[in-house]
Amino acid sequence: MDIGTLEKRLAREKAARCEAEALLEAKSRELYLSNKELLKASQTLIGQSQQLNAVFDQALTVILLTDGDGKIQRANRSAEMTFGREPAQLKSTSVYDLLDQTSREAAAEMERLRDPAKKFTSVGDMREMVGLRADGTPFPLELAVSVFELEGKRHGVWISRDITARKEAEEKQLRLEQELRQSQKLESLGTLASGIAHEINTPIQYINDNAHFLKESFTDLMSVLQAYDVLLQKLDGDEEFKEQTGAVRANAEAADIDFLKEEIPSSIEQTLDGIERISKIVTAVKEFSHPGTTEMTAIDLNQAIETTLSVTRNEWKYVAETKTDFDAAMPLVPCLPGDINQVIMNLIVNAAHAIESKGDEGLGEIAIKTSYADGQVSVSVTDTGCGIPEANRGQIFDPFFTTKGVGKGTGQGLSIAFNIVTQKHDGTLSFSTEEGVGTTFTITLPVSQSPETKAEAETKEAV
Amino acid sequence: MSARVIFVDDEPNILRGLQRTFRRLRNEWEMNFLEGGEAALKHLGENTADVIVSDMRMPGVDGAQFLTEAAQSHPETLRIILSGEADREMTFRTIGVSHQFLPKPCNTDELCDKIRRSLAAKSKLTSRELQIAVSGTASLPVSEAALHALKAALEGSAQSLEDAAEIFTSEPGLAAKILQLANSAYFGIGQSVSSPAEAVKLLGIDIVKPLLERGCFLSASEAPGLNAAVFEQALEQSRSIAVLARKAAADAQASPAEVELAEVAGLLHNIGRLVICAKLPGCYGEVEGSAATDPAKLEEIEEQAFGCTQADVGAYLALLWGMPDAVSSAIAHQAAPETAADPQNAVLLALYAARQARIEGRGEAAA
Repeated sequence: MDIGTLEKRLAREKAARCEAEALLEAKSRELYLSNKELLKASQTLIGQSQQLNAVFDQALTVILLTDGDGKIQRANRSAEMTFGREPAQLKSTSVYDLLDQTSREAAAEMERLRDPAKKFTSVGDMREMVGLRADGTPFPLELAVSVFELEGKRHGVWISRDITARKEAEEKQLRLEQELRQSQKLESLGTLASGIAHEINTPIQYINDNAHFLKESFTDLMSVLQAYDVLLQKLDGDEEFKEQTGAVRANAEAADIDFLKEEIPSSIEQTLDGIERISKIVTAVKEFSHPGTTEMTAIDLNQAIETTLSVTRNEWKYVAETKTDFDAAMPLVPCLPGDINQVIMNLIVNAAHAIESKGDEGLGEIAIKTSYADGQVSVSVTDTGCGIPEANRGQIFDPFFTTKGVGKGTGQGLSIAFNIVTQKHDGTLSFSTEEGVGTTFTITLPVSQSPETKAEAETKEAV
Repeated sequence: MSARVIFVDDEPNILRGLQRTFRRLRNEWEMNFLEGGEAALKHLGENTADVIVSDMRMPGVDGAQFLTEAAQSHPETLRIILSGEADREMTFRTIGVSHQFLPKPCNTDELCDKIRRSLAAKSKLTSRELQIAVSGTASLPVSEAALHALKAALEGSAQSLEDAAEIFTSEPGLAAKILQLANSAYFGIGQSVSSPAEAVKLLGIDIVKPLLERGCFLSASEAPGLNAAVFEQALEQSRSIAVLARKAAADAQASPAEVELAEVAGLLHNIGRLVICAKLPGCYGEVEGSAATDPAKLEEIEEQAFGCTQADVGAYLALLWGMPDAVSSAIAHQAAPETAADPQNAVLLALYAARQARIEGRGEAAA
């Protein structure tokens, strides 16, 4: 090969190599740049994913991601806490196992009807259901389900919230409103009752005065009549007054004077008796209604029970006899008199209804006993009624729980009584019952210790 | 001379009924039945009266207004309210101008008995001045300290009815007033209450607090001319006799109720002196120093001035204000139990024993 040819080839190769080097440099620069971008993108992605995870875990709402069969793929912290399960436990559990039977079906229906194309779930789609904690305890929750498709597979997103606290607040609110309504009703009834009592007392005063007057006057009249009788007998044989004596005798006979002499005093006596009963009832109504007393006031509980028995007489007199066993050493009890009267009334009326629904022939018995010991008083109301079935015992103090027929009970009586005794008076209300034998409700109320008993207690302690 | 009794009501049937019922007393009382407050005021403008029995709710001049005017123009009258329900505001206006509140319907025999006994006690006071002093007493003087303590107990966040009840048990002026209000039907139906503490609890803070705010208790510092030395002595004596009487009753194994009553009788045994030292302090003249603190000396002065003892004065007030029977009777016969209808009454004997113990105690202390 000649040198010329060789030189040409060399030159060509040199050029080619230069070209290749330049290309390499350009390519490696390109590579460097794209690598740098990739790194940046991956960092951004990691950052975003961390953000999303943080949002996911810190959301106060339960978020569950499921596969097409409802198996949980991802669950956030809120889900773990709400359902009381470990992350591992949650994963691969079926989301339906977190709900009770009825809610399970409702949720499945929700998911089935969901359109994957529709992305948003509005608040209005939240439905109230019952969830189950790890130990199976049911609790109220709200649930919305939406679905989406990823690589041709259907997935579900479950959003849910524990609403136990809200439900409790709502119930409390409802109860407060009822109590307010009830106490307003009582208040206006009390005002009405004392107004009526006043209206009745005025005529009773003069009916009573007049009846007493009639009674005394009749005695006076009788002695006058007796004197006339003597006179009449004297004149009987006298021909001169025959006409007059005959007329007197005829009149006396027509008026049936012997009957009048006998019946007038007893009719006045019965009238007085009736007046006394009316005025007792009016006094009882006045005492019972206690309008305007909203402060703790000391009352004689035995007296209050007597009063309540007489105002509720109509409720029990056809089904039961009442028996009272009062502790004579009862101290005055500080309480809200209107409220305590209502509690006692509810217990008496309930006792009467229990006896009535047992349906025995003859009268049952309502026995009320009071006692005082260790700084507290107790009142028990025992009936010989039907008793409370085992199944209902846990619920009798619940608002609106009633087994009575329509018009007999609203299911509020015992719930209100329970609240009055335990919340307003720091006392207790309990019961013991046997089906077919009867029930005893027992109230205890604290009485502030008198200085003497306190001193005694202290001395005892010191010894 | 027969007692003059007037009955006032806006309901003619009530008046006719009372007239018929009390007809049997026509030889004992001179009675007038007046329809409404205006008619009654007109009647009082032209006549005197010993007893007024008045309704509360009346059109025009109501019971509270009528009694307020009557108490001023005829302070010597015994003033009884006979009413159904009255609203609280009107009732507060009658405290101090009326002596007792009977609810309708009332037992007329009881009303008659109350009037008779009060008039009998009144007749023991031969001085008209003294009679007026008693029936014109709206409130007995109460020490500044007790009123202060009461205010502290009833006001602010730490208000305590228990503390208030204790204060009421410590002063005759407070105890007597609260017993008057609880034993009559001013607030509620009226029940027989013997202990001032119980009375306070029965009436409740709703009523006790306004009583204080409305000045229903006379502060000794505001009583014009009150003889302070005699007042102090009377307070000290009252508290000491209350303790002694309680102890005497307990030692005599009286029932718990009687022990309670004995203490109250002790506390109230010299309310007559409180009336005199607030209303007629002039009678004590210049007594000062040891004489002012010697009950025997004071009794002597009182008897010379009025011809009767402070016990007679106290007994009349106790009857007017409707104190428990055992208490009024013990007050009346405290110096001589044998003069009582029931000389063996445990409350009376306890009070007598307490007085004796106190006299002996003084003797020993002097020796």
